Amino acid sequence: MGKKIPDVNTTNGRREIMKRAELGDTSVVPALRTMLREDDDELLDAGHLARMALARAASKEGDLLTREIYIRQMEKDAEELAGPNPSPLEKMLAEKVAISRFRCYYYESLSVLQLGQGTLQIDDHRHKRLARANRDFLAACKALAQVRKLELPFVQLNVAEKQQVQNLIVPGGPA
Amino acid sequence: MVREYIGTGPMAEIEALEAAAEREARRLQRQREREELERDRRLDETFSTYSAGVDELLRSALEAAGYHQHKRGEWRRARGQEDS
Repeated sequence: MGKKIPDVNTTNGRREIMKRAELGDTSVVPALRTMLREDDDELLDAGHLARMALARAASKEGDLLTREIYIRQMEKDAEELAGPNPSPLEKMLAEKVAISRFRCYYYESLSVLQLGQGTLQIDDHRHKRLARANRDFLAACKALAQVRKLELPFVQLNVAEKQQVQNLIVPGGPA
Repeated sequence: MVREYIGTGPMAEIEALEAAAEREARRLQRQREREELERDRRLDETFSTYSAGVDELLRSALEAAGYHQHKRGEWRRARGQEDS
């Protein structure tokens, strides 16, 4: 039987969760995620896999704390970029901008840290990869800006007791 | 491949060992780089799949709302629908 999961509501419990995550204890990951998301909103989670893959690549193998912090950082950036009451489209694009930005930072740090350590071929590969990541990041920013600039028709949906204003209308779709 | 005769004796043996160590270091370096390229390829593939999905969703949503992409750049409202 595994060790007991510490209480996320106490300081000591939070410390122990972080410590165990650093040591690679996978049983604390759900508690760690709860801890890092104080108020977990319903996120459009199209980028989950990309976020996960990037965070895993950027953190030391087995260091779950760093991995989860990177994931949370990307989510937080996306929330900030989306702003208050974003449409699903804006939310999705903001998420892409956040992921692309993290990808740029990561590739840039890799290029700097490993500069001149490999063959010319690998240096060239890293340089091209960083250039591609920068292009993707700029394209994602442009797409978000364009969607914000377009005056898309708004529709109000009431789901349960929540009011949601969205600007995604599909003509001929369900009313 | 270039072969160089370095003679015989203890000095030649030391040189041969050094050359073998250098060859081994180069082989390990190439292996590390191959692994790095493979890791990068997988990571880039994950991002590309995600990115293409988002772009496709964006395109579908905007086209459904009556927009079209002008010369693969700016999204514009179709003619006659500007005020609708």
